[in-house]
Amino acid sequence: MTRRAWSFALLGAASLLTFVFGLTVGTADVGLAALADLVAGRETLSEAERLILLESRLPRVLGAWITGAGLSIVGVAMQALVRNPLAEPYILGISGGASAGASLFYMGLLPSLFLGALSVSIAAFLGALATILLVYAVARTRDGLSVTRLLLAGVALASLTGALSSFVSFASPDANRLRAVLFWLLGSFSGLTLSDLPIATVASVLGLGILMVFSRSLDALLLGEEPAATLGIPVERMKHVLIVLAALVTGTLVAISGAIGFVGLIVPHVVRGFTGVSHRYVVPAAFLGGGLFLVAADTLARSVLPGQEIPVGIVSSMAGVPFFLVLLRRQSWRFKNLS
Amino acid sequence: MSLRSDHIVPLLPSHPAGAWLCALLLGAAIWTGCGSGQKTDRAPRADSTRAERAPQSDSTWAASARDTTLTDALGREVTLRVPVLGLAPLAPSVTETIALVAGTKALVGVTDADTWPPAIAHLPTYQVLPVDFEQIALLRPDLVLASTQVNAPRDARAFEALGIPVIYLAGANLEDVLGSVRLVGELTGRTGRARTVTDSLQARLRALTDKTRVLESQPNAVFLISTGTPWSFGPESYMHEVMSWAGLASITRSFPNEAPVLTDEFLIERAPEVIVGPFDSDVDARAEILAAHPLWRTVPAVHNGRVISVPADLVLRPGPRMIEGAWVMARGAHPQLFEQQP
Repeated sequence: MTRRAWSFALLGAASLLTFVFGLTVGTADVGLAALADLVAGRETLSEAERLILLESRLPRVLGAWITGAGLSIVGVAMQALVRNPLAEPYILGISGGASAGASLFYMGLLPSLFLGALSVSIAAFLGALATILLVYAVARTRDGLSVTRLLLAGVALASLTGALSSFVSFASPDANRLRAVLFWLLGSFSGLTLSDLPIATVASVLGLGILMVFSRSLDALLLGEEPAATLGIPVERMKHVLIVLAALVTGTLVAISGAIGFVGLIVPHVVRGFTGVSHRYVVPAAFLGGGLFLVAADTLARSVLPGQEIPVGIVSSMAGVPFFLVLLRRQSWRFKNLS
Repeated sequence: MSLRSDHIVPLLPSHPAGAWLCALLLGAAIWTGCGSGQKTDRAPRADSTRAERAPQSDSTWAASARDTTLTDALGREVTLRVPVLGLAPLAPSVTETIALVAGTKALVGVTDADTWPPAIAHLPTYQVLPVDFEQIALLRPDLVLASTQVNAPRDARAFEALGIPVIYLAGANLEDVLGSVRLVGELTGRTGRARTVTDSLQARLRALTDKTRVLESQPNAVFLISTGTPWSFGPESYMHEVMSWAGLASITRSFPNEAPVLTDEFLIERAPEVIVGPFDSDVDARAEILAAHPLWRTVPAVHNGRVISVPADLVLRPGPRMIEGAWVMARGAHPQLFEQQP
């Protein structure tokens, strides 16, 4: 087996283990034995145990997996689009727009779009969409889409929407809503149900398929726009595809989980260390790696302190950064050199 | 100020040159008055408003005024001329304490979060999170009273720079609240009234705990800040004490940190029999909880409908009214104990 094949085998095994880890660890004492009973169909499980396994942990594990996977492949796409290793899914201001949309909704400054808990997700999605449209409008030039303008407008809009969220939160007279917004801004899978997942799953899997189809174009984009065009890649069309993909996938994921940072930045770099920089391998590896990373982070977020959970974004940064730094030091890290 | 005006104003009509001179002098006098106002006005004054606030007659008050050095809840030493008359509270719990001990006439203004007692409605308001120093300085308080539970310690330095003394009151538990009542009594020269307040608060508490003591065991309960995100209170909070008075055993008392966000799993596993919170009284709190947390349907408190709403002002302010909050909680949780009540 080649090194790459080993890497994929390892990622597959680790994904399975993380899935079991996520299902058997939590603040309640419901572990492997209960999972085994459930899988075997034994009737020894109490109603509370069944509820915890099937309705609390399972949607969270699936939701975290699909979110981590989706954000990671969008991170790969953004890094190729702007040819910058610092790029991540939120570079175009999407998470800031989603947060601002959610904040405005929580504070009652947006009309109730639909009844129920879906409203805040729709507000977040609309916020993300409005931001990306504005960034796109600024970055459009006569000669095509300017990547530099795209980046600068994205950073500026992220700052503006961040300020808007902060102001709305600060000016709110209702402390309870303020807390809800804060928790949402930091990201959380709390209260996720299976019915929240289909749209996010379709978006992430669709993103995976599209990026796999365009993997050679992504490789060429890393060389620069002119060399890519020389190789016959329709660069402008590619840029538009990547932006629409990023907006749809990130907007959908942020709407169910809040703004979970960091996963879309580091996972692509980590998997490049194992698979090389060819997008044919980076994209599926990032999909698997992102999923297992966020499931592990969410499991820690809801079990590290007894009886309570902390925002998953805090755990993903605290646990992920040291690991990432060690990898950067130890490996012959590459971003552009195709191998 | 009035003395200065009496001397200057009669000169004005007599001669144009004199009028100009007087205008200049008046301007200078106003300028001097304004310039020094921040300092001279800090000392207790014998104007009519202050006299009205004073516990005794004006002359008695002036004679009884003395410099006293106090150590506040932050360990700061503050020297004041007591009794102090114009107070500016920085937290609703402090306002309520002052109102009970010295009446609302002792206040120069209240915070924008204050709602009680109703007599504060006519008083000027100011923001405290963050503190609107300018607005408070304009009200010229003789003393600012802050709470360690609400206000940042660094605010003290800003008030000191403005020449306004500030004292921090503790409010972590009942002992602190009673201590704050006594301290406000000493500061305002109303020690007798403060004693009456502490005695009546303790009697009211005894009356409640005498009722809840007959319970064979205290049911497990959890206090939630809202029906949405399940924020609760950590180990250092006064809330566990309040719940205990009401005959409830708080399940977050032994948590390792303050302000925990509880997980669904914890609630399902610990299965509290009662949920208490500052939920709106005009909404169905149980239905809201179920909508936000469908998995809690098996939690006994939700399943059996023992979700109790307590007015936020009574339980979220660590002040003298928290004993009333415990009464409301107890009536909701153990209605059988109150059936004999007329």
